[in-house]
Amino acid sequence: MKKHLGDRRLRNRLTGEPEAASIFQGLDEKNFHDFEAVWKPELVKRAKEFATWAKQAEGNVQDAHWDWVGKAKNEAVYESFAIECDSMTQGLMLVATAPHFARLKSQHGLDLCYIELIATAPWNRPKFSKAPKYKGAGRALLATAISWSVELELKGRIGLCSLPESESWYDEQGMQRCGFDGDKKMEYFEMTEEDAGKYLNS
Amino acid sequence: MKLLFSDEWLQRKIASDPDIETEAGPSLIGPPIEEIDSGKAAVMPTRNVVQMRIALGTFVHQLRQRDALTLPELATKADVSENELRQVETNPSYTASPRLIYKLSRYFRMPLNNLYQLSGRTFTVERRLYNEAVKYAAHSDDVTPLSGDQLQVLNGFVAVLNQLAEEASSMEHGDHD
Amino acid sequence: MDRRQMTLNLNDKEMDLLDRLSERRGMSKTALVRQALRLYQSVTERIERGEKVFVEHPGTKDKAELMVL
Repeated sequence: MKKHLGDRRLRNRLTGEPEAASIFQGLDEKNFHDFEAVWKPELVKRAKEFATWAKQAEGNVQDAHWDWVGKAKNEAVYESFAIECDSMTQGLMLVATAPHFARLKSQHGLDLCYIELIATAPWNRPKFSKAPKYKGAGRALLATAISWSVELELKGRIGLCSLPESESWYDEQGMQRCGFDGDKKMEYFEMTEEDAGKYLNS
Repeated sequence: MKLLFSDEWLQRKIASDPDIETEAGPSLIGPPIEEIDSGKAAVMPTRNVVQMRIALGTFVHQLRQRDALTLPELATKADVSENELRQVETNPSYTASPRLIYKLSRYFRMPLNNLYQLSGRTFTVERRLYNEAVKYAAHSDDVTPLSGDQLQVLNGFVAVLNQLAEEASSMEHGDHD
Repeated sequence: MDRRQMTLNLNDKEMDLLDRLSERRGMSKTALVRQALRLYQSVTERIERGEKVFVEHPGTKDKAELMVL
């Protein structure tokens, strides 16, 4: 069931102005439709273009497709979140429902919120668009994940695996690197209670 | 649930944060559906991924031999980790990072898309590339120094990779308006 | 989200366990029970899908099946 959590504003890079956006918990048919009918064709198109842009292809080109939609529709597996602006899904986030436990030494074994996915619409991504549109969707979702962690009394602790081209951004947000996850083949990051407090108060 | 960040906070962050990717978790990109439908690309089972990687490992090793470089020398010149390079050359269960593939493609001037497919990072692979890769690996011996025949086989594979990339590129440009 | 209340009848041993675990994990008893519920849900999902749930010793790589349906 979709629930409205609050309104914030994203920046429209093209106009330079902030625009009203809404953050939701739970996805509905509109979000799934936005992904299938609008995001996906864009992504596939860009992936094909990248394959022949040798100088731009510093990262994912044709990575394996992950069928998250089926799992997300089964709410037992993921807690889902979306940010919408201009009547379109601009960002999606999936957080594992199952408890995950911290690997970072300073909080080893403590429950944290594991972010399975943070994805922003292809037209908002500097990697895919020469003129990316909205800025702030990823940031808003990360802060929402911390809020969810606090809601569960997990004190803001979160964990995630970053795509290679996003690693420096997660460093900047104050997350700590915990090493390469051999299963996911990505760098795993965590945020402690202290990191989360600093982040939200910065 | 309460959102623990204000709009002011978000605007400040937006203003000061750099313009880079913020994605976490697996990539959502699927294979081009039309290529699967037309039979040009196929979904790869694991054993085929292993065969591709054997071809990739042999290829990297032989290119290195061709250029008379030791493994540490190549790692330095291509700006990649020695350990990862060793894994690529010798371990078909190893999935090379996108960065390594990119650096090797630049260093050896080989088409990136094809190397990506050889690394097993793609869900699908072009049939012709797969067939050529398997043929190449079968005819190559990555243990002995490159003989004249081996060099011919290597150059043949290089030519195929370049040709496939050119064909893909001209099709793209043909599709553009 | 709407909240509903429930009374939980636990014996002394179970109550002690709940106290100790919630202190050890730094959360209220309610939060702990919620996490436990999530864990149970996740395991149930997997087993119903035909998957198995194991614990593994990191050093020896010995595996022991955690829950059998």
